[in-house]
Amino acid sequence: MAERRRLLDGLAAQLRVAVDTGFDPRVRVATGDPEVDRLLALALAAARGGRSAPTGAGDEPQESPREVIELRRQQALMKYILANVPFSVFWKDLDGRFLGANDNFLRDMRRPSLEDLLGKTDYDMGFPQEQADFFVKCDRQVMDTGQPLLDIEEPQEQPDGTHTLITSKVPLRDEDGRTIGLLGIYADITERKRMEEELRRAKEAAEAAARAKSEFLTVMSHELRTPLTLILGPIEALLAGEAGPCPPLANAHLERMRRNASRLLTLVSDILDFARFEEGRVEVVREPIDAAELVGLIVDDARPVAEQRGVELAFRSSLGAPIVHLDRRMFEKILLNLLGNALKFTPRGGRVEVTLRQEGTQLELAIEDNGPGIPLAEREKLFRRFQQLDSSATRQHEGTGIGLALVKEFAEVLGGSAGVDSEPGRGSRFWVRVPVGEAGSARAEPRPLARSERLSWNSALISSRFHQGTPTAVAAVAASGGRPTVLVAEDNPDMRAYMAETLAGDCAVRAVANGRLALDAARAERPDVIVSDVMMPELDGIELVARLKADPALRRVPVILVTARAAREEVVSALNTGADDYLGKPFVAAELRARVRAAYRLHRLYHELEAKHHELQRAQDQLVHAAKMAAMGTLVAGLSHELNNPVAAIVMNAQSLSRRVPPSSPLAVGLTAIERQAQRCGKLVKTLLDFSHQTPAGREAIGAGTLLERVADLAQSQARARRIALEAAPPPPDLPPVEVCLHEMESALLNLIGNALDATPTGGTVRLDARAEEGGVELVVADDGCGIPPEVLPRVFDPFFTSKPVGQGTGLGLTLTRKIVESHGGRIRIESAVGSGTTIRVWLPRLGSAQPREGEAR
Amino acid sequence: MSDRPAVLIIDDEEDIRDVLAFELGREGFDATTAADGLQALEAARGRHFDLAITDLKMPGMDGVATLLGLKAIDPAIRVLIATGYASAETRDRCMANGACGYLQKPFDLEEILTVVTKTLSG
Repeated sequence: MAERRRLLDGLAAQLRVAVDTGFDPRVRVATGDPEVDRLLALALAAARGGRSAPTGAGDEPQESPREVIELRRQQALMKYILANVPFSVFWKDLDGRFLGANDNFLRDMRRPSLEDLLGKTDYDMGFPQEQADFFVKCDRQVMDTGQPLLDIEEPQEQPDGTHTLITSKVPLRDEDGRTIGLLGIYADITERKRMEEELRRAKEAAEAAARAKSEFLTVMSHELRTPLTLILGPIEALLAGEAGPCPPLANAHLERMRRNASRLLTLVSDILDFARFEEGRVEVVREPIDAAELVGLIVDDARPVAEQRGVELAFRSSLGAPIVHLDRRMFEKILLNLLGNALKFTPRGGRVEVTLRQEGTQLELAIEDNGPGIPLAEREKLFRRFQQLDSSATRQHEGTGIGLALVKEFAEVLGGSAGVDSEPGRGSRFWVRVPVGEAGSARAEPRPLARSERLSWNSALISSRFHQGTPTAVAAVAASGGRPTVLVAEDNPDMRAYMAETLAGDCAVRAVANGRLALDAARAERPDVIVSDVMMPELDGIELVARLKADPALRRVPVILVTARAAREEVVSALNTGADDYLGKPFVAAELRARVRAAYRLHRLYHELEAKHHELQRAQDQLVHAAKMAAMGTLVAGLSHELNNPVAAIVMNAQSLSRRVPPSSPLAVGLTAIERQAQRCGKLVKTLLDFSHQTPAGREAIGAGTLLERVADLAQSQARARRIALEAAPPPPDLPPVEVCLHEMESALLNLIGNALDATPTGGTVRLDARAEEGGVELVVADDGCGIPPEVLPRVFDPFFTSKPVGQGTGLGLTLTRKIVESHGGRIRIESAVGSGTTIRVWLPRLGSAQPREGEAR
Repeated sequence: MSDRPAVLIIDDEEDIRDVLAFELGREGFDATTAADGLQALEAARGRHFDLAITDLKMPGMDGVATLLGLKAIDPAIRVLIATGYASAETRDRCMANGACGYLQKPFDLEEILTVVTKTLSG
């Protein structure tokens, strides 16, 4: 009995081993009793499905108990790993039947135990048919080819939704290398996927915001350039005495205007550079330059300004090898900014010294002054981007605030550094150190500075900086768009031939003899630029401009008018009609070519802007919610001060002078044009400021009638100045109050009134009206002006769309107005017919019924 | 002793300061200029001004600090803020600190002359 007991116990133990090792034929199982062992071998053979024939006990390789123990240990380890890996694991036989799986897999499949899985196929698992097909197809592929499939990313329907799985399937083989099934391992990466997606979206939004910010800066700068050019042109002409000699008083005023217009231009150019840095589109173009000569020239040009300010200016160079490899434009800008600051902040009687020296492979440019110096705390902030433009009302030491940040950017992009040493009360020393590349190399001779490159300080160190952007831009245009086509209209055959010849090098030229032929030619094939004489038979240049600007298809084609110097008034009226530029006769060939190139560039820019506007609009929505917007608001608020000051100086000086010159004199006419352009700059700054104004200000309740009266009062002087009647109908007594952000809503309504005034001829009328309307109030702004063509009507709310002549409207006004109205839960409608005027209806919900602000729900 | 109203113009922009002084002078005001807040306080210590027109963003003392300083020296002085720095919050801050008006640059000469005349007659 005991013997039998022992035998059975032995058999059970051996069977357990066999089961635990998966009937591995290499695992020797034996009880030592030949009878029992024979039975055991048969059972094992059956269990192995005949895949491994039983072998006689005597032929078995003998394995020591230690090896068996080791094998068992490994089996246990395997089980442990399977149970604990963060993957789901399963294995199947050749027919796709599940042979086993770990707990993770069972859990995923909602199977309580292994028994519920064994022997089943993918079609028994409750997968959708397609999915099961896909699994089986993969399995088949692995088992047929014997090649593993790794990292298959596949969706899987689970009771709680679609999961994303990443699966690997490898063939299982027997000891002879035959495929006997497959092993599948997968991980659920649903969560990781979601996070990746979120991260991607956040990154995109941030990029869009950054892009919109720099685009915003670019747009603003470019928009400001046009009126500035139109201001500087007439000022220069007046100063040159082209409208007759100026009274002494006028000269001082004009100088002030010129100074401020130049300053604006510098700022605009700095903003553009900044935007380029923001977008990472800054390219270093190294060329051999004689640094000492270049610095010397600029210092010489600054001398008159220094003398005028009573500041002593010195320059010292100890450069052994004066030829260095640097980006000329950047190097000049660095010097201009630092020198400009030093001259600005060094008090009368002070001294500014510019030094140039070499330290190893570095070139050091330093500007030292004995001015008031800069406290340590300020010093740290000086070079920081944007920080100088912070919202604190105290103006930072360095004026525009962008200049020093740019110096640092330029220095760094040249591989160097910028800094300042200062001692309060003793002065400051601003320095830039840049590696000089192949310093001292005599291989390349520096390009001698052409006369035209010698900068003259006053208006134009700056305006030369303005023009320096041209060559690269033109090159880019030439590369991308081929030669621009130019249409020349000139009645004098000799002149016509001369102009056509002059331009033939850069452009494809068509030349015609009068305005009518020009109009026909332009309609037949739209040119990139039109150059036209003013005095021509049939249709003169002024009328040609008017017709072109009235034609939606040709409105954007830049027109350069060529006029005799004597006819300055013509120029003013031409610019008023919408001509983009003018050129006085006699002119030199280079001048004509330069103007055409500039006009072409401006034209292309407009197209690019238009193409960009949808992108910007999208980005804008995100921006409103992005933190970056706050930074932009701050930037713009700070910038507005810097931009508005010179604008104010120009406007006031022009007005002051206008009061003292005969009303119809050429000087007065020029001043009117200058003032109008300056006002345009001011409006532009304001509009852009409003556009970026992101913080929803507090709402207040106000009677709709009162609101309209307020706005009418605000706009009255503007209307009077244009001799247009602005009539506000007395509000009906039943008018409900509305709840508005007064500042915003006033801007919105003023913008509508401004547009109406722009569209109305002198002597016309703009009517304001308010009435109760479906649970709210309707405010109406109606003009009897030129009206809007039906094809244009649907686009008037698009950002950067403008119906005004090129450069005259910002194109932001109506977009902004709608944004404001809609944020108040209101809506805006526009009705218009060409010739009979435009009516804009703004509906606002009555107090207490306002819908949530658009965007708050997001 | 002049019975012309005395106006102090404070702006770090020379070109704005000068043209304002010029025009106000022509309009019959007794106009004085100061390039910053400290100069303005210095001037106000020496004599009475009926009105000060100050920029907001200036090196050193800003417009509000200047306003408060001027009021401390001469409680009767009225202060107009004229600035290119635009936001509703700044306007509120100026008014809360006792400014009698807030002008947004760029402004028309007409506008500022009208406001000055109105302020001084009111």
